[in-house]
Amino acid sequence: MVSAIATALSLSGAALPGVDTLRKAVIAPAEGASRPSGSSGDNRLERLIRAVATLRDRGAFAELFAYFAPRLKAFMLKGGADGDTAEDLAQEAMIQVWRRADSFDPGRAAASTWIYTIARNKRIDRLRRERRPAMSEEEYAAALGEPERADDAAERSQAETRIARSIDELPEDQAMVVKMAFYEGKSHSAIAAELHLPLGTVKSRIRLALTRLRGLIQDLDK
Amino acid sequence: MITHRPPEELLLGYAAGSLPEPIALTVAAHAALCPESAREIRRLEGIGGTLLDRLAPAALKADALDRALALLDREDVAPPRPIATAETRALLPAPVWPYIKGDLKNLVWRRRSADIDTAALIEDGGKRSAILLRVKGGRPVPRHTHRGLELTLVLTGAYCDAANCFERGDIQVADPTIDHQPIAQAGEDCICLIALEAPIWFTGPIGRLANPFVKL
Repeated sequence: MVSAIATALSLSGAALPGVDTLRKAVIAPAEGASRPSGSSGDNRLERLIRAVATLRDRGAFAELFAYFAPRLKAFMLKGGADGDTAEDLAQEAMIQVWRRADSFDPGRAAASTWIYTIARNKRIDRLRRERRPAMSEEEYAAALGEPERADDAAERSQAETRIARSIDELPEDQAMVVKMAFYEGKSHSAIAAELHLPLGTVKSRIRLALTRLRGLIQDLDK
Repeated sequence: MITHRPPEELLLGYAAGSLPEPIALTVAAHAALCPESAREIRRLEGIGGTLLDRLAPAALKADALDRALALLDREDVAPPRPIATAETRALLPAPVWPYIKGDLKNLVWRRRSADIDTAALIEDGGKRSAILLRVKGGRPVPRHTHRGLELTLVLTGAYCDAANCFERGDIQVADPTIDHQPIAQAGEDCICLIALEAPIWFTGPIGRLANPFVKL
């Protein structure tokens, strides 16, 4: 009953207060402005995905779209897509968020991590025209075994805040190679060629950066 | 017990989406059998998520949200994942299932020698490929070296080379510096998923003779 009402309400998405604001946020995104604030920000994004999954809530989707679609477009642009392709891929990724929301498990991944994997897979599908031998969320679950404790989601979002901060604290040469790997999907040797660096130098910079970032995650991953 | 795991570079390449398809397939198949690698990939994807989160947003077209909302009710045309048969599940990790439509019957085994059969999963003009290799228990694979990266994931049985032994879930990374002759352990057939960046090059006396004919 409750969900029927919620669905009926959100089906009239255009009339919902705030949707116009969301529309504007998409066209002229201000960095950080639309991020749900505070340490509960990730929980808010996670709740929105759950609302999409269980209630098919279009208002929640619009809010997710306002936050993620401009970042997804930026991600695709960094990966070498032209403007139109980047916009299409961002759209496709968000449609996938709508369709696959029920596979999102906040106990296993932060909202941004889950959406990142969708975007990465879209990029592989489109830009490299390859099939994508990816593990589905269900296959991850099978591989990882026991589900994590309920409070892990909160710990994870703290961990992510710390990673975000520590990316800023990485020496510039280390931050650059990690960003090239993730944003541009470049292999170690492609990065070495582009920066005119020996392969070994690129490898050791990435290793140092990951050791630092991963150490931060593992602290909270016991 | 999985003791041979891929190097960090390959796990990162998987998480970042930069691996060629055959290599990515083999890493995913390994991770489906190895909780430690799956967890590590998830951690690396967490860095990807954080980096996505921190990107400066790019402006979308004026009607972007409305176009997305209009598409929500459209039916998903992507083919669903195939349902795998029980035999397929027993042998192959889930990431491999789509390549044979979920059924081992779709594998086309080709006899390479009295001891060796292969079945192609991905063929890409011979430059990059993924195959299943089946070696009779107790029998050797001809001595060979590699012109590119070779990843081997054991699915059944076990094999050893001069330095190490590999069992189900173990992954071996060989590159052009390695010249080896793996031997399947006695007992059941050893079936491996192998990703090749370039065809392997046999170096033993029989292997050299066979090279023009045996292109794995």
